Amino acid sequence: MPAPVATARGHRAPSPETGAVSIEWTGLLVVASLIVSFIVASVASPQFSRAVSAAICRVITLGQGSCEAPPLSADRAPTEPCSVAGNGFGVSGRVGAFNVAGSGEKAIVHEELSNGQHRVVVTSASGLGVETGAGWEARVRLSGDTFGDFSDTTWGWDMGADADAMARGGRVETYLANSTEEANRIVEAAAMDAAIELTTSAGGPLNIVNETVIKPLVDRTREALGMATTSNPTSVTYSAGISAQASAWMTPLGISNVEGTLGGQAMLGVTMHADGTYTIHGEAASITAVTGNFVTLTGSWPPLGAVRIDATYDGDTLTSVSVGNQVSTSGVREHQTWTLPIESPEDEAIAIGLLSPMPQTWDAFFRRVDEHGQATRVSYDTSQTTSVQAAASGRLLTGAGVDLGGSLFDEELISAEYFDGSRWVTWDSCVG
Amino acid sequence: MNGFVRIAPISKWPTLASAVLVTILAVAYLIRGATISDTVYARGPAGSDLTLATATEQRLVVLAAPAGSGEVTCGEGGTVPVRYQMLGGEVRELEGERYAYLGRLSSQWQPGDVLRCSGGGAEEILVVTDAAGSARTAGVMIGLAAAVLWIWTVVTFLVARSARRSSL
Repeated sequence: MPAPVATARGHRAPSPETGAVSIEWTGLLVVASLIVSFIVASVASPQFSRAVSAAICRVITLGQGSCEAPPLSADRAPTEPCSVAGNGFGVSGRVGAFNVAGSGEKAIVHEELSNGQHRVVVTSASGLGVETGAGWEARVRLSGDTFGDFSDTTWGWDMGADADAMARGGRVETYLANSTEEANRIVEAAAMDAAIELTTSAGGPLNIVNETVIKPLVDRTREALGMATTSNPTSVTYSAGISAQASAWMTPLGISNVEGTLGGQAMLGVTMHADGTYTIHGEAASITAVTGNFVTLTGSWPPLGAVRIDATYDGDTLTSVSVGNQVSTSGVREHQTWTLPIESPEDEAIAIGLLSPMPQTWDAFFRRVDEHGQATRVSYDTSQTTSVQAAASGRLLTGAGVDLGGSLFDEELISAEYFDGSRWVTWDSCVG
Repeated sequence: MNGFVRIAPISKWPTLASAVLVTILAVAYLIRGATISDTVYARGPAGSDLTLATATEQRLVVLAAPAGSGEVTCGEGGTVPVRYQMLGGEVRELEGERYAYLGRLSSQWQPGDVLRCSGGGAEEILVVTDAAGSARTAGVMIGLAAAVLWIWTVVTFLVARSARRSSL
């Protein structure tokens, strides 16, 4: 590039780069505006809402059958305990460079169960994939009633669009405890493990050092000092899958923000239970949403949703199949589940048909649940959950970026119902 | 990374402005957390019924005095439960006194509900607003996010500077 030319009046003539920058500014603004407008227009239509629901349904049923559940016709109060409250914390991060992106997540949640027991869930997840985009990120998003009028607001100044596709893997350890004190010890041990992982798993070779040297050494030290150590979990879930998404955002001058994301995720996994049984599950989730705020006025659409099928085996024997549907909106999480215990060859045939690559028995599954299954729906107040997400990046096809977030989970049961055969009734053993 | 080199000169000032804005927000929350004081909503001897008389939009937490060790159980025999929180903190200061943090009052409570806490670990039970604690938590979390933006601002300015030098 030629050096700037000094004029007779001592001022520098505009460099060719200045013009290029202006063109890039204009181009970025136009591209970001178009993409945000497209996503807002698409997502805001009722047809799109139905299309998303239908897409999730088609993923689960592979295009066969109906996702509408007929009402149940017999009184069957659930015998399993439900979660009445949960709290905990989590951190997540994503780093991208040279069109390669990696992500990680860790969360520890303590739930109070309706039967007086406690459940501690420790989640670890990671992902690796490719990304591209144009623009930059420099913003912080706040969520939760802790922020008062600033809840669900975004602060910063940025604009751009990006897309990524990632392979994902996860591990979930679940522990059951009979008292708050026992649950506290599990949480303490899990938090200590997480801290050790965080400090030693920065690189691949360090993971080996962590597992073979550091962790056993720390465990022995903790035992010697009488500190809590991780016990054997009640169940362990391993899952793997893929996700893809495209996003566009604008946060002009720090006073307003609009962001659209179009994407989905599909996961397969297996849960190994302490009693020797195991559950195979598949899950499809929509991560399509538009969020926006102008100072303290906020809005988002649509709710985030996920559908999941679980098949539990005892050895080679299929013992139950359940279908769950979870929807999260601002401040509320709703979860509905249909469970069919396998009590006859007919049940098994229907369940296997549902789990096959080309399901033919979706309607039959719900009819069978109607005859001797179980349906529940519970909702939780999640407005007290506090989360902060910082995003910073710079990309023009290639580039670099970092996305870090922290959450303090806090949710509480609002309502719990089961279908008694003619209507939804209060699930007394859950809300009591 | 070439894309980052090209975008850095464009994004460096907005990124700096974002870092400043978020830092101001964090400091505002921290100042609020340090200057406001929580108010006592209800108080009474441990073992007695505490009636929650009037509605409030504010989040309420339950404290016990003295802030020593010992068993204190809330909710049993009352109509409103207390939710245990793993990051609630063990000791809170209120009006110069130290209290043990027992948990958050269930958000489902209604005026007229009764809270009962018992056990040898406490003489007095207090239900107080949690505005200061919430503001401090918010300030710390936003502050950490601001730190991320500041680090990125430095990186962006360095990349923009090296891009300018290499283009001269």
